[in-house]
Amino acid sequence: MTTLGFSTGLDSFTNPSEIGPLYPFVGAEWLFVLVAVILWLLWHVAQIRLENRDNARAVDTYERIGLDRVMFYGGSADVPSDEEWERREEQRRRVATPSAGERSSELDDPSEPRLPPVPPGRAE
Amino acid sequence: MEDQLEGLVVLFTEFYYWVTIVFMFLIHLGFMMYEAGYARRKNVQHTVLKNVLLIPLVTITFFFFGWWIYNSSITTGPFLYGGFEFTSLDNGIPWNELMAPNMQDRINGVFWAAFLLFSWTAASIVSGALIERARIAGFLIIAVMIGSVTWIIDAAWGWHPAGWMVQIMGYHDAYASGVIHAIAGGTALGALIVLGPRIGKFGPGGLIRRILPHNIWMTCLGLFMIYTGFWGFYVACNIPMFNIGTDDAPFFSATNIYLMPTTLSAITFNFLTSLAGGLLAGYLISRGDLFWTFSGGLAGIIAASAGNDLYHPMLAFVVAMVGTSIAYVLHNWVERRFKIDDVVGAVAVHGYAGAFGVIIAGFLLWGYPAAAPVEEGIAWFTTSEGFPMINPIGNTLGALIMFGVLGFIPGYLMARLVNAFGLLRVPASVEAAGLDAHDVGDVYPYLPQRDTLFEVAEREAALDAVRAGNGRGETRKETVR
Repeated sequence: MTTLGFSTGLDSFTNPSEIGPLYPFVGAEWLFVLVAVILWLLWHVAQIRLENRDNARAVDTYERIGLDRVMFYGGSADVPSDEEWERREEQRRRVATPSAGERSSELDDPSEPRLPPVPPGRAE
Repeated sequence: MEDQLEGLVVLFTEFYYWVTIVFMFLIHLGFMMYEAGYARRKNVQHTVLKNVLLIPLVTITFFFFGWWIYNSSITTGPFLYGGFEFTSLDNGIPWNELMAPNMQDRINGVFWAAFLLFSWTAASIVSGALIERARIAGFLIIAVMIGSVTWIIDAAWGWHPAGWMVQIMGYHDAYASGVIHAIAGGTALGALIVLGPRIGKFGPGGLIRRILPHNIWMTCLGLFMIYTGFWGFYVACNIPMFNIGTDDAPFFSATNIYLMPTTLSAITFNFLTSLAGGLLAGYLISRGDLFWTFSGGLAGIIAASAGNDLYHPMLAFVVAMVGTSIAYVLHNWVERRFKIDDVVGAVAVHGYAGAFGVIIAGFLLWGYPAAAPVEEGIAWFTTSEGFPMINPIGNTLGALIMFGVLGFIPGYLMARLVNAFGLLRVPASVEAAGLDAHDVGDVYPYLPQRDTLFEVAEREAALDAVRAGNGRGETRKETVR
């Protein structure tokens, strides 16, 4: 058996009382710390940018489609497409102001409040 | 470790602290459940993320500079006494060989980690107060400040046998009523003033809306988990095996952090009776509110912690009942009077109960030795043997330093700073829609939901705020009340 003649640290544990550091690359601790500090600071920068971008995108979405619509659906992930939203809005308008002959049983009670369309997965 | 007795003591101490660290992990499991349960359904994932990210950040920054602060001459007090010689014990410097696996040292790593878990706790306390509207970025900066800078300064000053507050003022705070809890409560209060309440929390005519948690059961389970982790916290504040006798007549005992004698049995008595006092008082004072009954248990432990190394169990019980009651009353008064929206009552449970605990310990333990003197003639009051003496003045001033000087002021200033960069609060429309609404969606996608009465009111307030033109990261509390 031969070795490659190279070690990053210890090559023997036979005298434990004389062993100090157990890790490799003794003497380079300052470099490890320096790299870690840089990574730490960069992480903050990246996180701030990520969060800024997410918030800006969310605000743009809410401005475009209306906050009420987003809140009603419990978030933009569940918000229907514009076409779907329009279809539901049209349904709601028809239910709320039916033309002659279109009265549905659910509007038999005129005191029934106007209800928004029921989003998928929600209990009434 | 050629001597067998020394070897036994060192290996036992290493293992002892390691166990405390594992126990203290439960505190953070508890904090996460507590916050997640208290958040509304639309904010749960953001709340969990905000809480959990403090753990890695405080860990690495505590490695970089937190442990150095505790081991540096800051202990002896720049500005106050001692010098500006920032010498440090080797084990505090991040690139020192002792801050890594080393056969010649078995204590530094576990001791560092025990203090680190205290650091997480301090930052986590602040986290709960700010949920449902704070940005992750801003909170994490505040978390690093308290977790790796301000709390460890107070520990160096008042939670170290050579700390100047101990040596001069006779400050005594065995299980961190002040050095963890009061400072965290003060920091949270400072940040809350800048952050402002959640949209719709306060209505016209002094109306205070109750915003219901999405899962109170999970919150209570989280608080129970915090109690469990608190066992680890308590024993980590002790030195397990120390010769408090002389070399000629050794007497081994557990000691508190100041190397003054106590026993594990003592703190077991007092932990349990102060928990009991807090739970019973919390139930009564809140008229049977589940959340405040559980929070009362925590407040009770915190109120008695400063002196729980020495109290009689029934004294701890009474102190806990009084501290819990004060915390509850103050919480509601501050909320009503100053419109502070402390979501989980962190300022009350940790800040007010903690500060009370420090002050009352100064009276109840008046005359006890605080620590062995490191220099003659510097203590304000001494025992007959010349030891710095625990006294009401030292502990009352200490409570002010913890809650106010190192808690409230840095919390307020740092919150102002991060707010100036737009990092403190999410935009109003994002808050109203829910912090999970964009990108991640509903935390319970397969369960139906319905709007609460509060959400209807919140929606109106949010729409007003957005119409006022502050929907893009510029929410101000004046416009959303």
